[in-house]
Amino acid sequence: MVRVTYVTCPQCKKQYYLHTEDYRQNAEAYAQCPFCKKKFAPEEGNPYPPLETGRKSGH
Amino acid sequence: MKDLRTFFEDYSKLFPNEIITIDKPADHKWFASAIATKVERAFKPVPVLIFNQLKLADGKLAQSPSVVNLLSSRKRLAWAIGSSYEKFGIDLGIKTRNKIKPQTVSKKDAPVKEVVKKGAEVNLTEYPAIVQHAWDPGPYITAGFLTTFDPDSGIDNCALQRGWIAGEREIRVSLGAHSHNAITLGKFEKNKKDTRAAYWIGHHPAVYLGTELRLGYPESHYESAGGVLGEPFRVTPSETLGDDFLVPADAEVVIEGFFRAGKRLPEGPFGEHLGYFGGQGWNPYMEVTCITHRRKPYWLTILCSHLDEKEGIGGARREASVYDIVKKLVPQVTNIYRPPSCPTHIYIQMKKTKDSQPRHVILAAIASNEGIKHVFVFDDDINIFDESEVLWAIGTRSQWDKDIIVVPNCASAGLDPTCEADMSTRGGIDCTKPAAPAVFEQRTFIPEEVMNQVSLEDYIPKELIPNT
Repeated sequence: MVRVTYVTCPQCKKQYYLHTEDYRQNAEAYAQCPFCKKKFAPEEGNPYPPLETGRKSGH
Repeated sequence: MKDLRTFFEDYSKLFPNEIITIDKPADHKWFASAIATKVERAFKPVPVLIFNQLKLADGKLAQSPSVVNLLSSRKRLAWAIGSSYEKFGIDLGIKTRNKIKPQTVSKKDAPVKEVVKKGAEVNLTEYPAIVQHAWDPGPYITAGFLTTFDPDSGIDNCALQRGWIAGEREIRVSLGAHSHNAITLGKFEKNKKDTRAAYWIGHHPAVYLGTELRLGYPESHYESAGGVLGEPFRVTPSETLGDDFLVPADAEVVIEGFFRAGKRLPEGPFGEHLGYFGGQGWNPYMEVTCITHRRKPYWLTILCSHLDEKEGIGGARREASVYDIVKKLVPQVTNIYRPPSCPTHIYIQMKKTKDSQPRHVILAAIASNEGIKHVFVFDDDINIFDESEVLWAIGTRSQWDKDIIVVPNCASAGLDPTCEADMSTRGGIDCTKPAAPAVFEQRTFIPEEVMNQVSLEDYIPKELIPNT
């Protein structure tokens, strides 16, 4: 399970990440870009990487 | 009565070069932390910085000073509680146990009530909070104790918990899954009730040390603050949270408000103490009802992932509580150090009498605090404050097939990027020699009488000798 999920702000196109569990568990939770303050649904930010990846090889 | 102002007065008399005032305007967004970072690299010991003219988001200069690096020096903090660099963690633990009941004073006797603003008068963006790192969404309260009262016992709980000043009267807060304030919030939310809360900022460093220690739940931080301060911690009734909600009378700033039951908003990302950005979370927020403060209050900031966390209060808060628990179980423990090189490591020194003791120490230490991930246990001939000695002992006194303990699936502090779902693998290395009567190789040495006789100046020109 990944701890963080990168998103791209649909307005300013800058990237940052969300705490994955907070957003997985709360359907009403929205993201807010720390740079331009745009509010958006995580799916709008092309979340990357997909869940269940991002671990070190061998784990 | 001791507070931040008496500390500045006393400390500046003895160490006048360790408090530097900056009068040139500096932007609160990134520039203040950039200046502090360069000072950190250039100065040993790192001085307290007081920015007298911090430029805020609206382009105006703040009307009050902004302070960083107050809590960044172990030497300074040790001095503040009458201790030494080497015995700081132990002494802090002793003082914390000597709890003193807080003293309630009237509002008119509380310096923090010199200025009182309520409701629409409150505008938190007027105060000189700092935007520290590139991804931080705005200015954060980082040296503010978020204070709540347990609804069952009425006992206070205080913790340094980050709060994003997201609006004039809104603070979005990261509580952490295992924090005691999160327990209190959960109790109120279970009954669909709002949680009364206050942030208080700026006080004597001894108060910061006594308040920030990990205690039981519920257990009063106001009492432990008094213990470390050496006098009753003065408190006074709040303005908008009821007379039973007591706030520090001698703080620089108190911010009062409510967490509305079940309400959450995006908070973060934020550059955290482990040196990584914590991800944006769906976190509770405080609706601010009032701010009280002294005239021209000192707004204190802890620079996260900098010396405050590495060398200063970040280490102290671990050492005292871990030492207390470990020493009770294994009396042969003699000292403890949370090194600045990594906030999740802890070094423990002991005079062991049995080979099983270091393993007990490791298990006790990792159970004592979720912030401790790796424990290293050393003999008492190893200087645990010297990283080269520590690494030498790891390399020459441990065999990792026998001397490592690994405990998977422990609780985690939540910010470690290698953890999964708040679970962490913790453990330790026994870096001690076999207990007597077993034999072990003798460490090399030169006869002491010869070392004492030799003076470099007798053999090498003085101008070539560094640090003379």
